[in-house]
Amino acid sequence: MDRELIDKYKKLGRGNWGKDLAIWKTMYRGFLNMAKSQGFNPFTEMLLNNFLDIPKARKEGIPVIMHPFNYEPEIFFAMNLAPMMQEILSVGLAFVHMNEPYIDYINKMGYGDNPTICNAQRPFISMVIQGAAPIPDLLFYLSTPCNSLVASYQVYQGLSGIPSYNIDVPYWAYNHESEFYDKKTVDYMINQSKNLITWLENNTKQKFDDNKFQQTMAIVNEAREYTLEFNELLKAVPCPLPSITGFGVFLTMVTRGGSPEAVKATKWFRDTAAENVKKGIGGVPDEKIRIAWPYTHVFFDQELLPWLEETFNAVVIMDLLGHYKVLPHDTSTTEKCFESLAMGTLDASMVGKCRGPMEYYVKYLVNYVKDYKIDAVIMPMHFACKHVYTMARVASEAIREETGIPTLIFGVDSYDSREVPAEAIRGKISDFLTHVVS
Amino acid sequence: MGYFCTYVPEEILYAAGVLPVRILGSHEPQDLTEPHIFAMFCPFCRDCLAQGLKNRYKYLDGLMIAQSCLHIRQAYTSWIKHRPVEFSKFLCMPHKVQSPHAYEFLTEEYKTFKNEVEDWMGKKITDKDLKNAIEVYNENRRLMRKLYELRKRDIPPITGEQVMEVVMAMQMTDKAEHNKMLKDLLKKLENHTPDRETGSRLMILGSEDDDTVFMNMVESCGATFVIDDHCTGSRYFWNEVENGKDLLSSIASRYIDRIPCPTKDWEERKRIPHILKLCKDWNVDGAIIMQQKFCDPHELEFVSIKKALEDAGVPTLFLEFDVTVPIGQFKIRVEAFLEMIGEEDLF
Repeated sequence: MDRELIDKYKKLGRGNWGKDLAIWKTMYRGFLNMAKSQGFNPFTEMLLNNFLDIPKARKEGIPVIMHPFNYEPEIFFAMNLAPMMQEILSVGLAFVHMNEPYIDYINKMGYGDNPTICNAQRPFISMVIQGAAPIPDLLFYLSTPCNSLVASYQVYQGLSGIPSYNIDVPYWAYNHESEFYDKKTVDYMINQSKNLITWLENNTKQKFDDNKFQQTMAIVNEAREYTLEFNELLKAVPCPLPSITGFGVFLTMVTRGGSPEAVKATKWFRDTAAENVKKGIGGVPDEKIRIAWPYTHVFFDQELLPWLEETFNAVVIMDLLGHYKVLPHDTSTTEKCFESLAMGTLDASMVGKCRGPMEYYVKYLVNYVKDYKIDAVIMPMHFACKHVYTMARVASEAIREETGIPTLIFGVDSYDSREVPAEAIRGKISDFLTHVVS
Repeated sequence: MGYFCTYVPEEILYAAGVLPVRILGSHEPQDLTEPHIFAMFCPFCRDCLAQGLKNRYKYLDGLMIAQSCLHIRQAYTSWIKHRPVEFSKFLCMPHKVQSPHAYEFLTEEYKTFKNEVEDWMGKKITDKDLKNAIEVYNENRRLMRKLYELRKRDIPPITGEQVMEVVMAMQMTDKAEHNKMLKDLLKKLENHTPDRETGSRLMILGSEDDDTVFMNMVESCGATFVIDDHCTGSRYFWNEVENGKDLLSSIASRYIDRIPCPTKDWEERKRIPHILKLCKDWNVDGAIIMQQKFCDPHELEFVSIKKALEDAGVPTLFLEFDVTVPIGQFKIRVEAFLEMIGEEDLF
């Protein structure tokens, strides 16, 4: 079976993808090799198709729209556009340290201080300048979670001249009496989404279709139902799947949410978890430590989590992005679809937790630690994430006071191995798990 | 009411009988903020927070911020957590001011804010109060524009350092009083010729800047700042509240349409044509681009601004500021820059 799939994807990947898609194609080959060694499943197939869709769209004259990691592409699928998540590139390259020459180059160009401007976006500026970046037809971004993301996307826009659209996500001023989805905010988001559609229609030949919109939202809902069930299944002891699995769910939704493939992939995640729970199988043999990782992964160190599993029998159940928790849409009317779209945007990973005051994030973490029977919290604080960095200590104090669980906080550039090297990170984690947790 | 960042709608506060006072730093080295705010946050924000933690603004009854950058938001959050005040407010100023929906959103935000201020002050803010506040503030802005017009002269009657003092005073005193003082100042400057060489005509632009020592140093090297673009300068007062649908929406339009800070200047980068126009109108020989270290929005904007200025024939010097600035080192760089600008005069 895998042989057939390998041949199929090898064949599909052949041909000239275009000069600007050279790195995109290299990444496709990398993922195909990974699938060859680790086996195919609906998730890996979805990832491979994510890469294949871009040259295919070019061939078919379908406009390609680039978007960031914190916006799900359902509206783009509904408009027959090909979404391309930028961070697949600049973060994807970090796995194999191929982003580092781009970081060095951008440092020389003067675009911000390393590492305080986020290297989840900055290398892409370098790729744009050097002609190594894919050239989408359109560019879309959000105003959140940080100044660095918006400013970086604006630089791409300035350098490439690609038509761009932004949605402003308002900050939620915490007030015990106010609601997370207050009317003013939701209306603002709805109006901007409708403007986005007009902008898409004006900049492409695609037309908005009510039925297609509702159908796409229904497809998203199916996937979201699976993700919610998946989240519940991870509460089991032992945790039914290995570390980083939740991140796969997030990646599915943020690259392909709104496509039937995302439904297949999320169903596969859900089914695998359910089967393991039923059989009492843990993702990590002889699970001893359950870890919450409420920030980003250390993307440049692929071996970090397997090392944790092997050395400490520890499973990382969640990470901030990977704990995907967005409710299904209300698809009863088109207007309700827009309202749900607005609320979904407000809830998205690293939007929901970062658009409001720290009390909201802290409460979320404390509840997570309780609900998932967590033994230790590890927060690698990415230097550029100024929206979260300072509240880490407040969060750790609240977690200790309310649950007695210890937290390790350390600074890191999640995308650049040269700021805080892998060995230093493992040393800190090792000391923490050995002397504090055990 | 202490406030961070110049997006706070001061007119509403003034109408309620509240005196808005801008929070600024002291330019003194400190380590007080280390446990509360990350060292890689901008030094201005850390300096501001230090003032709060040192209780130097203990006369404040309230503290507020209108959303701008994450750094100053952190200074605000830590301040109210550790030095609570009677009234505090995070006002959600839209980031995407270029959105047509920003007006309605901000007007709604102002309605809530107005009610909150009324509750706090125990008095109703009438239309008459608001109209008066708008008039006082608009007059202040018009007078400031007149002061800036004087700087277009071949021999500007006032230095950049002095203007910076005027703007900072403007951010801390009752605007009605400031108006009186400004009128006196304008009268005095009308026929005034300073006893100093103008030298190179410079623009200063970038992050928040209230470093009068730096301004003085540059102007003692054979130059005069004739124009600026930062929030302790022209960006604070450049446009007025114009008559709109109603008073609150008119105020909202003013803050949305004002010359933006780079945290709000997208999708289209509107600051560049404005900056180039200032250079042209004030006949600038060179520009000093200063930036508070770690200021993300300005850091990523800097390359485009520098290119635009240089393409327009305006040489630039980039300097990174901290809580304190190495004035000796900066002086050498400024002198070299001024020599470069004045090269044609030398030969």
